[in-house]
Order: sequence, then C-alpha cells, then structure tokens
Amino acid sequence: MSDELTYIDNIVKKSLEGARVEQGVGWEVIDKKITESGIGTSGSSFFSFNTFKFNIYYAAAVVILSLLGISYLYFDQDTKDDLLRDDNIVIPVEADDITVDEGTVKSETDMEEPAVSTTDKGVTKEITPEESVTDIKETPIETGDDIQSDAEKVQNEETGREAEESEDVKTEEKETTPVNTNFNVYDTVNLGKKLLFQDTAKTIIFEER
Amino acid sequence: MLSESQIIDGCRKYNRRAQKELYLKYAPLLRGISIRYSRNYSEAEDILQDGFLKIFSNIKQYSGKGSFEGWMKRIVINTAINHYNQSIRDSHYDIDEIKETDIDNDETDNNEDIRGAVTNTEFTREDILNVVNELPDGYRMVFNLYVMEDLTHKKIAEMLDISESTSKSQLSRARKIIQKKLFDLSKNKSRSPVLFLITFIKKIIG
Repeated sequence: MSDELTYIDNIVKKSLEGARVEQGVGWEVIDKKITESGIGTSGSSFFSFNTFKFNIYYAAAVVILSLLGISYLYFDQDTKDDLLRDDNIVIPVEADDITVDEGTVKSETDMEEPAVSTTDKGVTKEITPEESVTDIKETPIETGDDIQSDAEKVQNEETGREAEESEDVKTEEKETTPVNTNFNVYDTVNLGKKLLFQDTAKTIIFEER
Repeated sequence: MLSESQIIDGCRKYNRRAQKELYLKYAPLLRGISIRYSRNYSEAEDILQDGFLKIFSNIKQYSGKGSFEGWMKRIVINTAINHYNQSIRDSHYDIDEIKETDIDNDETDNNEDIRGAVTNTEFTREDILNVVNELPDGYRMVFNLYVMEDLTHKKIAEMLDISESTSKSQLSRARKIIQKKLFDLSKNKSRSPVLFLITFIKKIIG
C-alpha cells in the first residue's frame, strides 16, 4: 500500500519543490525585530552583541584598575617613591605636615634690601618694584636756613618785635595745616619735615610752603 | 546590489544593509519552505521571521563550505520543528495519539480509479499546498521531512523525538490523506462545465 502511494510523493514534490512565495511581510517587520533583539549595527539594545562586548571590555578595565589601586596600597615606600618620581606625580602636602627648622638661612633674594634713590636735596624714598626711577617725584624740603629766615619774617611782620628778645617765640602761621596729630616728634623728623613748634601737647604744627 | 559573499560578510558584521539584501533575496524561497510546515500563512510568517533572526545571529557559524542556501533552509526547517515541538508541549498533543479514525479512509473507492483520477488531473501549486497544510501537524512534519527533505525515518525520529515506526506510520497515513483529498479535488474539477463537456464528448466518440 505504501509503495502504491509513492506517486503522491512525486506529485507533491514536483509541485512544491523550489516554490517561491513573494507575498508576505516586508523587511520593515524583520528590521524591527532585529532592533528589538539587538542583532545589527543599528540595534541600540544594551545587551546587543557589540554593546555587550564593549561592556565586557569596560568591566575588565575597571577590574584591572581596581586591582592596581589595591595593590598600590601594599607597595613599600621606596616603590611608591619610585613610581611617583618616574611619573612626575606630585602629591599635595598638607600645611600641617610642613616643619621649618629655625635658623634657616634665607636666600639671596630674600635678603635683598629695598632699592633706594637719593635726590640732590637729600630726599630719600623707597622705590617699589612697580615704580621706575623717573616716576619718583621729589619733595623739596626747606633747608634749615630757609626755615629760619621765614620764621624771622613772620615774626617781624606780625609782632614787630625782635626775635632775639623773646625766649618764647610766638609766631602766627601764614598758612598752617595740621598734619596727623598723632605723630610724635620722632616721626616728624623721619618724615623730613621741619618742626616749628608744638603749641599743645598733641598738636604739631608744620610750616607749609 | 551586493554579491552573495558580500552579503555574508556584511551580515557577519551585523551590517543592516547586508541583512536587508539577504532578506530580500532569500525570503520568498524560505517562505515557500516555512509554508509547507505550517497550518496557515500566519504561522509560516512567524517561522520565517524567527528563522531569519537565527540566520542573522548565527551567520558566523557558517563555515563557507557547502551551500549557503542549504544552510539557511536547514535553519528554517529546524525553526519549524521547534515551533511544532513547542505547540505539542503547549497543547499536550502527542503525534502517537492520532488514531486511524482521524483519517477519512473510504475503502470502498477503487485504488486504481483514484490513482487514475489524481494523476490525470492538473493541480495547481495552491491546491497541493492547501492539501499539505490541512494535514495533521505530525503527519505534515513527517511527510515534509521524508518527501521534501529526503531524510530517513531514523533521522526524522530523532528530530521529532518519536520512534521510527511512528514516523513510518505517520508517513503512510499522510499519503492516504493527500490521495483522498486530491481525488476529491479531481472530482470537483471534473464537475466543471468544460470538463464535463469534454468527458461527455469522449464517451460518445469512444
């Protein structure tokens, strides 16, 4: 019976072998399924092959770096120093860790004195690094003779008395301007001003030209 | 238009353009195979799509030796078998449980008359395909694997996880069903007015 029906096999095989069926779903459906399954270059699935391979590399790199970091903790100091020196690594040092020995000799630059310029009239002034010599303005100061002659003029004009007859010379200033009443005598001398007299305990009067 | 080797190389790199070329080139042929193993077009499309996904994801396993088309056919056929095995597990339907009563076997018909009617009738591809699709799932699987893929009963038994005797009996029953359906189809075709007129004239002359 089975052999008698082999002609059925031939009929079916002849009709269906190599059959091509054109009608069906298009590429879009397959394309969508490929994307969902992560197969293909445009697939963005996290577990797509390419992404997964990258994740493996990334995880391996993290593990290796972690092992290096852990093993660094067990290096001896010499090894650490060598590593730092070779790689030019600078480790920030806490301020508290710095100790300075007393008596440390300053360098030449630290010991340099400030530059000083001297004018013809004996005026001295420190030159700051920002200033050039030409920027320094001279502040002329009266000499002792000039001040004395001026004082005589004032005394003659206003009092009419001779300066030699009075021990306490009272002179009115033509124009006086109090300058920093907290100065003491020592300060005023250093400032290069001429101290005329002190009428009160705290008021120092300077002659202004 | 890419050549087959370019398509294969591109698919190995998961290039979407190469995958599209592969699909457009081989989908009709592989669809024709998947339809033979299916009950209907919908199931055939599912098998085809799953088959292409397997092809794209496993194309690196293709060594280049042998026919690439044959390699893809085997993947689609294996996908169809997996679908069948899955449907059996889901429905708890066993191929061995099909009884003889499932076959509409009319013993009263004369075998020679049936054979003559079937062989003398021109069946379209659609006719044959519909008859195959209407076979019970197990019968259809065995018939396709034995007749269309030229596999042995031993190999079929391994693939479907059945015994060789079961494979043989399923093939025999499948043939009977196909014969019966084709005979019925031939009778319907002979009842058409044109065929009836031709047959009538032949009888008068004869």
